[in-house]
Amino acid sequence: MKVFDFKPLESSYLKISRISFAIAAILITIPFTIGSSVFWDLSWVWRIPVFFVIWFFIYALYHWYSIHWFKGYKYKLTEAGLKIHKGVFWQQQNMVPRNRVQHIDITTGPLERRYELSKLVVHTAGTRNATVTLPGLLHQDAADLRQELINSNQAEDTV
Amino acid sequence: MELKTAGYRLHNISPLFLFIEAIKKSVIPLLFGIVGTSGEKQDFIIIAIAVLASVITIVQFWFYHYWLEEDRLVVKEGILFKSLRQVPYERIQNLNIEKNILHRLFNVATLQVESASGAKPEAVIRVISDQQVAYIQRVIKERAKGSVEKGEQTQDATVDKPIGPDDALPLYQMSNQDVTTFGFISHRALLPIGIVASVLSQNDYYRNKFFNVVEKFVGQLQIERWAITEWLLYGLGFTLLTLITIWLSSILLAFLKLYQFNLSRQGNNLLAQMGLLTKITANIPIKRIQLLKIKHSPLHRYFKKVSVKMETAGGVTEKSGITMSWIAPLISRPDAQNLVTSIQPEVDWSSIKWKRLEARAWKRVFKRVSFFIFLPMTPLVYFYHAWGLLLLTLIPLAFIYAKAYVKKAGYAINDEIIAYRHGVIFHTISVVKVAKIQNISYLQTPFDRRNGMARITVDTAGSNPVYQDINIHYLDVEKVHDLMSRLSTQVSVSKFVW
Repeated sequence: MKVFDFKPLESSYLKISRISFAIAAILITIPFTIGSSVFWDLSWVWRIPVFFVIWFFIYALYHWYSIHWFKGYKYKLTEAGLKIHKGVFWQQQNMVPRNRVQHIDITTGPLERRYELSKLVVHTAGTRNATVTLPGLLHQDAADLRQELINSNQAEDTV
Repeated sequence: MELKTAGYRLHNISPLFLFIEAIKKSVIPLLFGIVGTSGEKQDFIIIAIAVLASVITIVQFWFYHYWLEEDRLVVKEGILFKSLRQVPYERIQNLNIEKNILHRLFNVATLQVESASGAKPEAVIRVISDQQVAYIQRVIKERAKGSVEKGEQTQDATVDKPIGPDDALPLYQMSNQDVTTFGFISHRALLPIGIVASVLSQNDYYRNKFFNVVEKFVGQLQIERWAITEWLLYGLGFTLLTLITIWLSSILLAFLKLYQFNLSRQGNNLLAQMGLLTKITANIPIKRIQLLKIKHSPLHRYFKKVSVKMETAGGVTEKSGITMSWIAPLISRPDAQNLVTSIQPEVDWSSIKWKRLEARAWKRVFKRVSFFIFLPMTPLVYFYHAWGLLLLTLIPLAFIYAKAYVKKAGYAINDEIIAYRHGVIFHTISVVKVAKIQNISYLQTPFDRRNGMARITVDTAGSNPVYQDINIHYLDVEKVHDLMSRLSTQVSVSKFVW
């Protein structure tokens, strides 16, 4: 039975999360730009730099947040099961016992594919925390982890 | 897949029941059509569409087949969109039977088969003859047991003695007085009456009609000329009348639903029967119970009673089918504890050592409650100045509440179970067997961190997705970590059987 102590996610996942947030921030910026344009009655020439300034500000906030977010995101595999720790302000730990795993998905998005990363989705029979996701794993690591969790589960057949 | 046995069809009277069910489902558009605002021709169009749609559903009857295979129940249904469902017998969680007056007239019943999946029942067989129901019940019971024994040992140590159907061991019965008390406590009719009253009061026609009826009894009202005493008198009378109506109809509802509630044990199954006009028989394998709760409200405490409920896997709600979550709607407290122990022997109340939350937790509860006092106070002070400060008189109450909260809350853990109790006004004791825990989470909010606290929740199958019953809050971080590692080890060595 394989075990390991808390591991961080792949550092390229931090990059991915920043890129996807940078894109999402464009949408978030639009209402702020419209708001400030109306408030200060800006001309078209000014709206574009204002847009970029706001976008940069929002992104910078996330950039700073993501440092701590990434630092706090870690997972470990014990004899009992998979444990995931995450969160900056609201810190959360999810523990999925090995023998409660129902099935495991591995999903890969277009950005993740570029960096050869995958997301592990562990399903249990629970209700509220029935699915536990673990992003930012190397393809091979995700596959190994899945195999490990499924294998240890096979030993005793759950109904 | 090849079906080895001959298929069955629904009873010949089925179209009638299918039609009634369809009408029931379209009852809201129908109501809007009849009670609707205009009362003109377009309403009849709505009614006509609803009736037509209902008639079409009757056709289902010719397309519904089911098979009782060696190890599974197979249901084929659908006209344009066909579906073939296969439910292995050992996966069947609950087997519920519904019989209303009409069913009894034709000696038929609606059978609902529930597995652990989804919000809809796996199969609703509407309707089949009584003999066929008994036959299906027997087949499912025998074969489920057989395949479980063949497959692997269940972790329940209780040996399956072959127990005949007549050996039902009575566990709990509800007298008519209990049902009455329960109806009074539950105030079940409050919401429907409130909705109907508010809808009707928006409708000019019905409002005028109501005033006409009232004036017939008490003469001209002339509200404009009422003095304060008259307001008080009529107001009091009206309130009393409303309360009595709500109580009486709640009691009526309780009788309709819980009349002759009877819970018995048949081998490893719980058998519950209830209902006045519509009789429901529910069959729940004991090992499928995920969580047990003992609840009481202030009214419960007045009558020195509690309610016992359970959660089974599978999210069938009242809307999507027959639900059965009662173990004992109204029972005295010691009896409740004995009942829970007799259903789940792992729950040994004498060995449950309740541990308190941190003593300093009261400050956090106090702050939280005070926040909700200050929140509405700010605008009140702004608009009414010093009068808004009157809300401050609630602060001592918040203090008492906070102290009581910490006193009443507690948790217990041993090798078999984890239990949590909480609530000042509405108190709940929840018990989960360790083997039924699916995953464990730990949460620390910024406020928790400041106080060195955290909370731990456990998730079970079939629990409420919004509200977790085992959610132990205001504990020291170290204790939570200990609890979590202890629970994880315990869970990982105990096998989960649906």
